[in-house]
Amino acid sequence: MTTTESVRARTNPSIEIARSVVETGLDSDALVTIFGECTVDYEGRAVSTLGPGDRHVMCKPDGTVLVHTDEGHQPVNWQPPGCTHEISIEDDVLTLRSERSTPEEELLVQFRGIEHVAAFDVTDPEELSLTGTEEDLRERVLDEPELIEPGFTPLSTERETPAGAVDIYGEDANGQAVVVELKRRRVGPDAVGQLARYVEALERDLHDDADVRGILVAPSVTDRARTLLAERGLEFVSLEP
Amino acid sequence: MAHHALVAYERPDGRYDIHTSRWGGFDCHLADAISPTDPYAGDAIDPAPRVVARPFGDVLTMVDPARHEALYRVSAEYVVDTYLPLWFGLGHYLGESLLNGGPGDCQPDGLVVAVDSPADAEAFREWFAAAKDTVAEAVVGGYLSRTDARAVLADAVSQRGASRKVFAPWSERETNEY
Repeated sequence: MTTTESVRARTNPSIEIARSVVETGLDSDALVTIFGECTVDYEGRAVSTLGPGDRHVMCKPDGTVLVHTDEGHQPVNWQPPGCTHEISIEDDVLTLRSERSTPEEELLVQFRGIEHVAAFDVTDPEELSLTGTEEDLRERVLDEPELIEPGFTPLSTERETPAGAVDIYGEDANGQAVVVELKRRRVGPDAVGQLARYVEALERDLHDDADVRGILVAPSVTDRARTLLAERGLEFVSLEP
Repeated sequence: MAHHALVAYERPDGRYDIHTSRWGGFDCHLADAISPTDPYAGDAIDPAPRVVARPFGDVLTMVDPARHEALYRVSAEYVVDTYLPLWFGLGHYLGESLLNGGPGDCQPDGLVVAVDSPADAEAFREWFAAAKDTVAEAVVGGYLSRTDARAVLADAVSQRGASRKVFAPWSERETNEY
């Protein structure tokens, strides 16, 4: 077993050893991970079943469970904070049961093969990391307006228009009005439509011949969205949240 | 823009108070963050209601499908249902004005469909974006009228959402109250 003061881990463990590592980890409020071939059954506000496959399961001390495959940033199954976990061996299968009472939900992960198991005593003194949080993207732009472009000056947030409030309203280096709209994920044409609507609304608000620039800020855009942005004279800045 | 959402809280009389969230439409995670002890999910939801004491039918018409990316319905027992607004507007594909009264006609148009998890919401959103892109290409190419495009989209959503609640709050072109 790989053991340091804060990590207990085993590769290709027997089912009994795996149960022991997980149980000890759960009991000591460690962050526990299990990798192996498993099935996943969820029952609650819906019912779902995942057949056998290699998955990485993480149990957090706050009751969260995340089931990940080799794709995407979102788990394929999950339980929110506040759930209770129980590990057992049922018919030679390592069984992780996560339960929530309100609403009544159960996530059942059953491992027929375990390739790795670990328990981490996580120390994270930061109450809240601003990096990547929801408000962070806007705060970053306000703190570093040059992320949009050199000379950009934010003037207000949540400026109201007839089409709704825009995220950031400002001026470019030439004093031209700029609407900045923020998205935290890859976006398509509908985000272009939203931005176009804000730009039009603001132009109508300002005066008849006002020329307002619109900048869409997102990690990435689809090819179609990029074409529509260009057709409308709108711009795109790539920025990760 | 951000990723706006509406959150409707049921009152003891069965009507709803409507609040807003700037980022709640991002990945539909609010459903699991709202609880009796944390009704506004930290500061994710504006604690000041925009509108109070409305039936749920009115709540639906307050959704702006071009702007709101999620609607949450919180029961008096704090069971949270999540809905995706699906915007049928095509004016932005056609270079039209998108403001009310313009040829792009941004009167709200679309459907509101129930989803059962953040992963389900993401999958449905991606599917709808692809479906709408395809239909829009046909309209831009002159192969499909707008009326037909709308019917194709509505039909596709009803088929994919056959086992789901699907609302058509703007089918009679009610006025959006925002």
